[in-house]
Amino acid sequence: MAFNIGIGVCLAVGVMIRLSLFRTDITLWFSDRGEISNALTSWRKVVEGIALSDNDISPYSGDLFHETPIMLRVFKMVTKMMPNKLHYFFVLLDIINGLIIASIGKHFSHYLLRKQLSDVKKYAVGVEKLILRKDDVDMIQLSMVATHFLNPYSIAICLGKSTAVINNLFIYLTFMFMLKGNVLMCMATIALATYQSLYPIMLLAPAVIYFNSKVHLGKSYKESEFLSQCSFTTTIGMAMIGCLYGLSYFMEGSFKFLHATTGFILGVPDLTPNLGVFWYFFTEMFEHFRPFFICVFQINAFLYTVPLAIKLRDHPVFLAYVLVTLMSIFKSYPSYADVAVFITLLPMWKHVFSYMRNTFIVANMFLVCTVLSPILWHLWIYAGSANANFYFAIALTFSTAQIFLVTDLLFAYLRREFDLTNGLVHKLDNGKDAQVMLD
Amino acid sequence: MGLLSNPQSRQKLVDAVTKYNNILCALCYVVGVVWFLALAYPPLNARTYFSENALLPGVVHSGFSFDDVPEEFISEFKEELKKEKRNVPRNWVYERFREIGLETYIQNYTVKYPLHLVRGQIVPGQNVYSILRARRSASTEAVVLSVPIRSKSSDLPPTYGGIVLMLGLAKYFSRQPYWSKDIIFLVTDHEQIGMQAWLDGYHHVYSEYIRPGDMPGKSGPIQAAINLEIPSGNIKYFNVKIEGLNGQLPNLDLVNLVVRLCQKHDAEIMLHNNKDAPHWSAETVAGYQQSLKTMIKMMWAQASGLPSGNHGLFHRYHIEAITLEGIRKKKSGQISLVTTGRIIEGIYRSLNNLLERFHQSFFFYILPGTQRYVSIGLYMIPFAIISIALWVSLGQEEKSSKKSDDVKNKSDDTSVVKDKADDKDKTTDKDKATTKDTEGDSSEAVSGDKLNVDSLNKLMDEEDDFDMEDKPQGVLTILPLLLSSCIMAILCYTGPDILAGMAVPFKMNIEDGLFYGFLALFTASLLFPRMVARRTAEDNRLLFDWALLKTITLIFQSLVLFSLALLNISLAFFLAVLFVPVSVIVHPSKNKLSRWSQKFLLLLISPLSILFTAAIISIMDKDNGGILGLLYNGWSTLSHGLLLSMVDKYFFGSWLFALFSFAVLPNWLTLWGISFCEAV
Repeated sequence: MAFNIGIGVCLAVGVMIRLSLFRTDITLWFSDRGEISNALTSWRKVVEGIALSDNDISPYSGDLFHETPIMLRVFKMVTKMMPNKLHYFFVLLDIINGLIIASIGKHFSHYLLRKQLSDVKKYAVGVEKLILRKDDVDMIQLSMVATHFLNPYSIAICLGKSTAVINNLFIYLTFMFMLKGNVLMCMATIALATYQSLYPIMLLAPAVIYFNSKVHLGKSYKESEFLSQCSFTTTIGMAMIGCLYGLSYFMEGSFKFLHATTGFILGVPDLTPNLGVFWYFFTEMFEHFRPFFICVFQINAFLYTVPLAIKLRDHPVFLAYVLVTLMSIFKSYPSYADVAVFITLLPMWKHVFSYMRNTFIVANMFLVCTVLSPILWHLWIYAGSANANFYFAIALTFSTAQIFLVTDLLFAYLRREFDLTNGLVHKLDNGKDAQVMLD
Repeated sequence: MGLLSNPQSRQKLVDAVTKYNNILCALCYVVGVVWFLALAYPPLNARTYFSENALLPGVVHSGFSFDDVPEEFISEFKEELKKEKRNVPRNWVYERFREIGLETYIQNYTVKYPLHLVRGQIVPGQNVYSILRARRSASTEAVVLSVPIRSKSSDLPPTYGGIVLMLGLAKYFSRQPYWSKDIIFLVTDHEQIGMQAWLDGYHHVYSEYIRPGDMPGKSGPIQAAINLEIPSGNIKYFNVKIEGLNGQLPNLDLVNLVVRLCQKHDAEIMLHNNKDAPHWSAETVAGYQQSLKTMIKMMWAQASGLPSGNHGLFHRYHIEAITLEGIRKKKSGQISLVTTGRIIEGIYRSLNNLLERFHQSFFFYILPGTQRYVSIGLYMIPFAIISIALWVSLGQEEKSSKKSDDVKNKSDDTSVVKDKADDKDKTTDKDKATTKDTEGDSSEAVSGDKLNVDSLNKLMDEEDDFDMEDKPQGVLTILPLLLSSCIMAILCYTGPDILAGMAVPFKMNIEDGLFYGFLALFTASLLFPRMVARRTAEDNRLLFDWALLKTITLIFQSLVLFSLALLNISLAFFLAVLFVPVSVIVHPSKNKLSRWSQKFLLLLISPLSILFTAAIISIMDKDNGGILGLLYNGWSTLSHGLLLSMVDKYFFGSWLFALFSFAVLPNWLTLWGISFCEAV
């Protein structure tokens, strides 16, 4: 009960902050920030695209509009319905996101306890301190909702009217349906997210593993059928993605949109500075190396799915989380919207925080980068005294901070698992204290 | 990554930092400050050089001379000035430019003073400018030569020489065939306000307070600008003024260019009336003192965030600009207006050669002399070392917060009891779980036995309120202090508008109204720890998780200092020198002496005392008549300066006031709160 009141308070405070900030000029500033609205997420581009399509010009014929055909129609409907109250639409989306996150929190805590129950036979004696209690998992839900409504990144993307909020919605939904155990809806949301920003296709891996895992299936789990079941589920997901593209084809009457959406994500033609690593590298590069390095960079973005899926095959939800974070680091047009997702979902792993070692450093890196990036942008673009290297240095530091966070979390998670199975006290054969190291 | 992932070496490092914390902090601070000041010593900085090859300074022969007799012009101009005491003879200037045969325009603008300073009245003004169209290009680029025109009643030294020189140069330049950039001759009224109006008009920027009129004639983007403050002849030496609005500096190449050309014509050039240390004695103590004095003066001017001349407003528009000021000495002044003209001709010939905007060389630098510079790479290291002291002291906070936790637990009897009960529960559970395994903790048990489902279920249901009780308390206790310092900051920022609105019906002088309003706010903030204490605790004792608050304060402070170092290194340095030691020292203590000395130190670095000290230092050069006179004048300068910084905020977008109200004040308030916290 107390937790429900807490969630309600967070929601009210979050909505109040958003609505009151929408009345100030700060929204304009946010919507101009390169870290919040880039070519894929800028609301201004959406408005342009709607105007073009209202005048019967295909918005995809130029190099302006990069939303998908379905989203174009959704946004069109929304702008027709509430032309002057658009900010309510974004606040509403944030409220929906918050409710989904509350649901994720609830189901995830059940999932954790269920998983603990099924794994208990593996646990060593003397690990009582590590065992999750009902109170611990109840806190997860509240802290996730609080993080969503109060963290500055979520507030900033809402105020900046970043269209990535919708993409985030699908990612949250993926988590929710996955934990609820709804295969079809989960695949559908992955398909929608993939259709929007391509990279979430990686989430197929954890989802497929989850739905065919022992925890989910219970007694009907058969080791021998694992692979065939997996491929079946994958096929469902891929078919849904295909359907969405087919639907878009019928809406647009041509495949022109592919070049402006998925092609735009893969080819990285827009090199406006953001907090990613692509723009700097590709502005410096000779044109004839470009295709090769684009392949390298994009493969790099997707590559981690395979080793992580093998390593974390027993922990699909954690795998999904790590992949979401990696997406934010390596995608071609990252923005604070991606950061908001993994920061919001971070409290899911509250129980491994005590194993994390670099929290202080990572938190400070995030803080410094967030504050310095607009300053260096100002010095570079307006004052003309700094240059691109200054801004890129901060972008690189920001990526490093994210990598530190995800590796630290990964190490902490695995270390906790190790301790659960091997006990808290580690001794060498000769009786000395051993130190567990990760190299 | 080795340091981060290897737990052993990492632990060693953390231990070392916590153990030698105080020494490390002090060491960082002293080393940082000494190193920073030592940068003025020639072997530690570098000689300036031309990075932009296209400038080709001084390779052409200067041929400037006056066609007319300049003295006649000057006396004519003086007569015009006498005719109207308050106004300036714009029309005379306008006519002269027309006679030369240049496109000449008058730009009208109006100024609405903020804060009801001039009630209901809108002050008009006019700028005169004329454009010399380049013969070799299509007005795609321009350079500006500007002179402020000052009325007879102005306190500042007159600029007759500048105006006459500009007219002479305009005539001479218009006959030359080699210009590839338009040259705009600009005469501005009302000092910086006129300049701002002209720049706003040129770039189509409209603000609420300075409303520029339409500009009938324009040229291309402006590449560079020189502002002249030249008296009528007998110039002893020149000052090159570089500091712009908010501490922005022009490209070092432009400064070098001006310095080089002055040297070519044997004109002495200085920074803030300070001679360069002569090169033969530069490495002696006297030479170092000379350089240090110049550097401190330059940093002082930069730290103020005020433009030191009209050039300072150009920087905002990405235009490199400096002011060349001539200092007149009636008897010993040797430099004539013709020589000055030749210098300026040389500068413009060089600017004419530019192929791109200034982009090479340095934008972030400190000058310990006209020919030496300290670049960002050199000064950032000592600055970082000073600020690192803040981070090092964070290690101590961690330790002390752990300690205070322990203390709290011991004093809290009930929690101890609960703790014991908890422990008992745990041990019984363990006994159940490990019925067959009596030697529980031995090494064999680690791998052998596994938990079973029953005990797990029990563990999961177990009430574990011990952990939760402790943590949120920490954040909640400091919340009142954080919130009230935020509120103070907002009050301070929005105060001027409210105060000025209130001063009008009371028939108060706006300046006094604002000043006393701020004094009241400051007094209120002095008392706020008491107020917080009265609200939160029964016995008026202020108790909170001070270590957490201090951690937040220190992180915030280092963040502010580092961001400021990128924008205005001088201001960041001075603030760091003042704030870092006190922030590190402040902690609750039982010793009365240490409490009061902490409070005294904090009062010394309070925003009011900082501003008062700054005001006193800025009027130190003038004759004030004794210490009391100095203090009194400092006081009035402070109240005047506060008003001016407010006006600057509205007119030019200076962020000094915002910085003080949103960064310095709340930071100081939290420290002040910590000094009031009861030691446990």
